[in-house]
Amino acid sequence: MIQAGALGLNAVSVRFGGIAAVSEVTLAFAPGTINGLIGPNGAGKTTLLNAISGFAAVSSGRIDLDGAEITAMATAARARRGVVRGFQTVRLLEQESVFDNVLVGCERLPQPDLLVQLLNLPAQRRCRSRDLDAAAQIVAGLGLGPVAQRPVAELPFASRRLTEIARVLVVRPTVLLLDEPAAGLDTRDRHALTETLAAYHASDPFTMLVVEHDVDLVRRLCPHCVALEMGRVIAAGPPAAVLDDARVQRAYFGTGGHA
Amino acid sequence: MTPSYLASAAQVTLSGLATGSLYAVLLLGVILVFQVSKNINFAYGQTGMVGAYASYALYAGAGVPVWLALLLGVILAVLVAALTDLLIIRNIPTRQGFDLVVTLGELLLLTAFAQMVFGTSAQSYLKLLTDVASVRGGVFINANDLLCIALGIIATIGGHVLLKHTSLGVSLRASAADAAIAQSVGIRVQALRTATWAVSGLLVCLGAMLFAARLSVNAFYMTPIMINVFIAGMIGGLDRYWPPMMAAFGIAVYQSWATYLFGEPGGTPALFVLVILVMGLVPRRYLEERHEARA
Amino acid sequence: MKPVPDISARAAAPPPSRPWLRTAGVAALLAIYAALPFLLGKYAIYTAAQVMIYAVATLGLDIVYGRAGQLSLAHASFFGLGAYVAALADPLALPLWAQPEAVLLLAIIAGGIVAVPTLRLSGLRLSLVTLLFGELFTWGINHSSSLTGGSEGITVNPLTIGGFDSQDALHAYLLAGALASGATLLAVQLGRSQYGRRMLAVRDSELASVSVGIPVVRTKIVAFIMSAVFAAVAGWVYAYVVGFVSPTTFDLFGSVNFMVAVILGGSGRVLGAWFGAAYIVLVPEAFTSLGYPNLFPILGGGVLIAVALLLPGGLVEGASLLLSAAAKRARA
Repeated sequence: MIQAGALGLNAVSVRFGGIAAVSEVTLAFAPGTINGLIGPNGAGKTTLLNAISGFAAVSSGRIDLDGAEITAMATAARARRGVVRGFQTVRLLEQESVFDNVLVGCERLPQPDLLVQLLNLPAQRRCRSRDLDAAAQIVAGLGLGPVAQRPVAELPFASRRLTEIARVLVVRPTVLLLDEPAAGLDTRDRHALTETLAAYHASDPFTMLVVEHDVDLVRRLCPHCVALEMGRVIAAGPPAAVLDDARVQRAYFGTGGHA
Repeated sequence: MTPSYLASAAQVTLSGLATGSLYAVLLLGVILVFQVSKNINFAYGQTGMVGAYASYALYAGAGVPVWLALLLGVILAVLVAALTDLLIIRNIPTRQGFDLVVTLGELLLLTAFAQMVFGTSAQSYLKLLTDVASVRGGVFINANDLLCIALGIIATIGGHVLLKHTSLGVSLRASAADAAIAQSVGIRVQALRTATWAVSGLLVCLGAMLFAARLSVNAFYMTPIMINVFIAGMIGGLDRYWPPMMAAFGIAVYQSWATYLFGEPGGTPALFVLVILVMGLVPRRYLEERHEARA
Repeated sequence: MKPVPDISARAAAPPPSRPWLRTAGVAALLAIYAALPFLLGKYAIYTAAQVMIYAVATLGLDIVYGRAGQLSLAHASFFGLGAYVAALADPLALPLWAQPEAVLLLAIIAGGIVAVPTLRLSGLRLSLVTLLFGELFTWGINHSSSLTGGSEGITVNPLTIGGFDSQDALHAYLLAGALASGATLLAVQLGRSQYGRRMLAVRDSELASVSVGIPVVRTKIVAFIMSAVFAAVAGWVYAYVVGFVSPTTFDLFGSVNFMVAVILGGSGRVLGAWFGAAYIVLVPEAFTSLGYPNLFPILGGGVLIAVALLLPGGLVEGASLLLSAAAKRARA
């Protein structure tokens, strides 16, 4: 079975003014793999996600998705190709319900023309029930059923985070970029999140890149991991090996130290 | 003896500069409120109108001496502006655009109030030096023009000095950038904001009074003026200083020339063309408003 | 790309639909609509027609502002566009069968033109440019007085087909009713469609919208064009019903009036647009009949401020608060 989601970065640099937030990063992510992206604050992890998803312009280098270059492609166009991301500070439609927020993610499914939609022709009715079903499934799967009709502004952070994840998962992504998905969650919610992500991934694998500070989460979820420091890749491989790498330890903990 | 076309050119430009100076005075108030309070006050022009009308009513109706009438008018405008912040702006929900909505309501309120009290027909205002003139080199120089230009220069330079070179300016910009942090270092954010609104009331009233002396006034006379002021702010960017202030002068001179060359009907389309050209040709990066953080 | 398969046993239901409630509501509305002409006098029916016409235009503004979050200050100009097509139909010898198409076409073009700045501008700058377009429209009418009557305005001959006369109160009521129901159905359906979702997303978070692939600029343009079409069609009927048009109805203050309707009624809600339209038509009538015509704008301004401060969701929110309070008391 041909799997999509091969993501390649070739000497990608992102410069803001004189500062290189990301410097000459060359990485290859195989389709369907879960990859962790770790590093101290300011290492360029979010910038790298922004570059891949199109929220930051690449100063030099190229990014390829399944062989097609996406370096200069607009963000929305990349999303339509399945490159979706979650944000560090959760970005939701505050006044809308959990369910409606998740429905927004159905944008990536084929939709009928404007007039067909406005006149509620059969194609529109079909697409709408398909969208409603997809949203209902993911909302249930992530345990958001009880709060599905409440406006997200009223909900605790964990539910808001899950809503955003539901939005990006409601239609199977090709490449899913998550920016510190566990931030702000307590231990129990973190475990639940890790398991949920693993389960969704297992049932139909897609490429995933997870920026995380929670080292345990990375160990449990990501068979492959990359460490950044000051915008450069300093280690790549299985989490155990990367975390034991002397350079990674120095970057996180100063001289020597332990994981 | 200057040739007549040079004299005409000087005349048109001078008149444009005078109007532009008043635009700059008004724009300074808009910029201050926008940069400190992050709000747009749609009722700004009407706040000045109310002050100008009140001073006229006091002078012409109650026989109050001119200087006192003007002072009281200014005080009224300052009060209206400060109260707008104190009572309304502080209490609006954080939903985007609500400051526009509330000040829109205030626009309706003040306009209707003025119409009710002063009627809808056009009136004349105090002279304010518009009747003092002299002719130099074929150019008809009006003392009011000079007064306006002087005010415009004072406001433009004063605003720059205030924002960049005084500790007050630093406090203003700090409380705009991050109110919580500013407050934690002892800056009285709320008071500063209301004071800024009050100052904007002062500026708009000065501008409104001088415009009233130059034009005929009814309840709506400030509307076309404010449209031009907001356009200057929009072209230059309300989050900057020199570009919008220069745009204020520039637009007025531009329109002065447009009406001179194409007659009175030429003003609006000329402005429209200018805005379309600027918006179309200026590089996109320059046009972007401060976006949401990329996190 | 396909939806992710369900991995958990239970599925959460989508919002519960109560078809019986909806049918009952529609039936009740139809009953009221059919009954009113027998209960009210001619002038009241004429006013009801006005409310329905303004509701259509307000629904249009609700689409671009309430739903898509773009403050359009040119809305009254679109209204005026349709109105002047009706007004100029006789002088320009435009046959009746061509008029709706002309209104539609002009509205699409005008809406598209006003929306072009969205390619480069957003927020405040965009609103100011829409204001400028509005000013240009008023300027155009005022300076073409030989054709349009200029600032004096121009009378509009009634639309007569067979026995139908647009300036007869009952006929106007029927025409406006047909138009308003069509517009309302469209607006409701928009709310249930993906295009409607796009507009909400663009309004609330452009960042989130882009991240799921929503074309932000195209969505805004569609919203503007839809608002222009609603307003222009409403304006066309308005002119034939009222029999007179003048540019002061379609200037900046006219657009502000529509804004009042949207916000007061409750932005983003179809019912809110109806409440708002009823307010801006009925309340001035009430004040005029009471002898205080000038009080309305003052009240309008004050009410707008009060609503924004106390009840940001508008009359719709107020109504639902009242209903839930009543329900609570009934249960106690």
